[in-house]
Amino acid sequence: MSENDYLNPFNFFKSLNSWRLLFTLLLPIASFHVQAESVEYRIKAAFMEKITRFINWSALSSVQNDKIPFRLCVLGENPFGGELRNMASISHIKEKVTELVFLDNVNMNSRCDMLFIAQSKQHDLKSVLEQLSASPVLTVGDSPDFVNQGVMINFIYTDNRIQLEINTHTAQLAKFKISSRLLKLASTVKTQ
Amino acid sequence: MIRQKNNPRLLSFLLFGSLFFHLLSASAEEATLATMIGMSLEELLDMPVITASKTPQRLRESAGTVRVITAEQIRHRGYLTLEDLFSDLPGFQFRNIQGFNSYVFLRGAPNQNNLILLMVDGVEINELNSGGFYGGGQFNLENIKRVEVVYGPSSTLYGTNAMSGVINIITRDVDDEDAQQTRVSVASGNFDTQLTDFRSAHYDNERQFGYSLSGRYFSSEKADLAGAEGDNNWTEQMENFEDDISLDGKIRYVNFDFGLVFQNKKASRTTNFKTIDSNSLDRDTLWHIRFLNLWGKHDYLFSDQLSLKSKVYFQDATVNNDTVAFIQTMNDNSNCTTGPEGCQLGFYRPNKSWGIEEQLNYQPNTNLQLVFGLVYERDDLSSSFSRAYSSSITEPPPKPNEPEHLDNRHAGAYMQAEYRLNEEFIMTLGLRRDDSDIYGKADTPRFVLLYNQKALTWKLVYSEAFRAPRRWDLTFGTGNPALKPEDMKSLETSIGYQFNKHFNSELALYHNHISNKLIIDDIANRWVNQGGLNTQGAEIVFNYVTDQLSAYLNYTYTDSEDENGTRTTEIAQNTLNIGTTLAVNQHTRINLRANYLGSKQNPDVITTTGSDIIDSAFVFHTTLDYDNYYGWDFQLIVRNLLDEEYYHSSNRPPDRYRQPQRNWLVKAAYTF
Repeated sequence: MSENDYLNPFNFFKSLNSWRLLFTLLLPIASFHVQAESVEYRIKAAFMEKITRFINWSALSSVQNDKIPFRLCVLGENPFGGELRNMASISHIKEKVTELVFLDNVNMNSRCDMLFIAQSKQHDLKSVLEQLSASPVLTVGDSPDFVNQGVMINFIYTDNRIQLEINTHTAQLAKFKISSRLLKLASTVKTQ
Repeated sequence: MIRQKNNPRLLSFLLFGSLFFHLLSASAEEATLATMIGMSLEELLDMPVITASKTPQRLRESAGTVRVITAEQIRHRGYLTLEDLFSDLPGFQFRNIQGFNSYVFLRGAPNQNNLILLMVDGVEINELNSGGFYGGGQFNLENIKRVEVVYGPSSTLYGTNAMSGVINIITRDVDDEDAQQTRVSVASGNFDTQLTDFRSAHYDNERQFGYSLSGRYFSSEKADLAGAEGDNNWTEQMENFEDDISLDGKIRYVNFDFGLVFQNKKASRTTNFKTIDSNSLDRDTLWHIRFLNLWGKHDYLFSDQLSLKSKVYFQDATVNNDTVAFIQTMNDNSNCTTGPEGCQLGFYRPNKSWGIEEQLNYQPNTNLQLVFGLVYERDDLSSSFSRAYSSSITEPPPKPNEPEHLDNRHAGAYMQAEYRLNEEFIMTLGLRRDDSDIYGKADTPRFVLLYNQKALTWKLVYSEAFRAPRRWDLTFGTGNPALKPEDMKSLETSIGYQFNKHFNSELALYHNHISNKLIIDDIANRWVNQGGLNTQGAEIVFNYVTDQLSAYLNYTYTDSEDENGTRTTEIAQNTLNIGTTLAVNQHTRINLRANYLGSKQNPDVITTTGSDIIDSAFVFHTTLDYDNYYGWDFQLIVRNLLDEEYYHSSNRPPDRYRQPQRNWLVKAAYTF
């Protein structure tokens, strides 16, 4: 470059080859139409797998039987899209095959090891929890006040992050043992 | 003239390759979920919902401009050295001498790496005699969790050297979920580059005990600088190597943490001098410097409102006594004391330092957060290099004697108050006083006003900082015991906006004034405080992040001149960085990135060109990853993809420094 180019450094961009490479660089950005699935529920799906590593089910639970798949149930409208199915296909919760089940209602025959209660069922929450009372089903939700109403693990959205609320009282009634590390990371721990 | 070597076939390949990857990318979702499942709980909790980049959140919360490089970015962009890592950030420029050191300039202030404070896990790494850190391959990038770059003065919290910025390298913790595995990798490339690294960690939740250990071996001849390739500064037989070994480890027991960072760097000193038409030899030199940092930390929680963080630290930064700093091919009475056929000159410079810091954090109510800190440090430094000479160019020098030691003491006290005025405004006030037996007292205030509303963040920052003269500077040459610290005053404003879930942008404008600059007066042969530097600039950043694609573009305008209005040499007015990483499927990622380095003035006229201008350059790099193949990860890194011939400026005898030609590295890693 000549000394004059010092005053106009972007003359370099006039080079055709550099433009071509720049175009190549920008192509994926310009042409990328993303039908983005919610990152929020992808993170929650990852949490669903992750928290099981820090929770021990009671000795009476089918989780202790290696021959029976881990049964993950979703009650109500599934907010996860395909994320839970993806999670189930690439993860072995409690080192077992994960079976994903979608339910409209819950009863004694549902046989869930972990139950995600969707927001669409928040008006039925009390009866759902009564049906499950003290059975070894880890209840999970993502609705305001769920943890106060008895859901064991609740995801809340605060300050652009997903945070955990834990109800140790209902978890203990169902003989769950929750790791101190998980409790330490929770934003709220309800003990009564 | 810049040599144009763009290859049409290569460009076409990249063009169609990019299209191909785009078409395939629809199946990339599982990879992202798999990545999340591989994260620790802490990382998941820290993961922003709006964007995969942590930067916007930190931008909103931090009292200044902070930019973050994550472990994932380090890996997928194929960074090999610390300089690589900074090269895609706005505001950074470089003088890489391709030898025993390289130099990083942030926001328009050339220096010897002593205007930036470099820390690993909050412990200072800057070398003790010069106050500057060493660039190069000795930093173990494999074990880095993230790197936080704080732009602008931060002496209010960190004391001396935190002028242009503070860089904190945060390594994986012993209980990080993704650290609970052992990973080993080996890599090989052209220019005889070899790299091996490993990391392993274990944490026992019941015993609350854990440890981690990580290490790296890096060896490279970096570039072809022989003969005409290196401006005919060196012969065809020139030698230019770097061999580094580094280790870092941590132990945690309950709430005590202990850490170690060890770096052993051996490098040729050839590029420090010209050897053609000079009395120096471009082979057999050795710069051998060793760093050992040990630290212990303890956090004590008195209550939800009150906590005490304690830190003790020790640093050994020694130029080893097998160093051959220079080989003189004839006795011209300047260096060699004996022998008519030249000599080898040996250096030795041991330095030690230890310190203690107590930081009290008090939150009397939800709107006010107070930080109080006390620091005490004691240095045991060499008064100068201890030297020894051999009597020929082939005979190594004897071990130099122990040099005279100097004892320095330094104390500092700081406080910072962060007050939330209402839902939108946060005000931060800080003040620090340092007291040293070298330079006396230095006071550094700081004021930040921060406005947050939904997607918008605005900041106004006024801060001061200083660079203290080192003990060595006072006695250099004829000596100057009256040296004062170099001061910086800085005013900065920035605005950030999150347009939607995927796209955010940020603009930072700053004006810095450095006074009492520390420079060497060649006539008086001593350090003096003289002159100043005014820098002002703008940094604009765009980030676009989706699950499959991340892309960035940042442009920096820098106007740097001395107190007489003369443009600062070695600083380009315009730099631009652009890059994209595409997750093609659950196994494959491709990264393509580019750095535009505007033209700049060299300190001296370049003999080869007859001009004092370092030409602009556009340099492309690419990385291809294939991960999770039965525990194996594979990577191809190609730097300077188009084999651009480009140079960095020089403040040494070589007129300018040729940067590496196209270089590649193939890496294989196995996770147990």
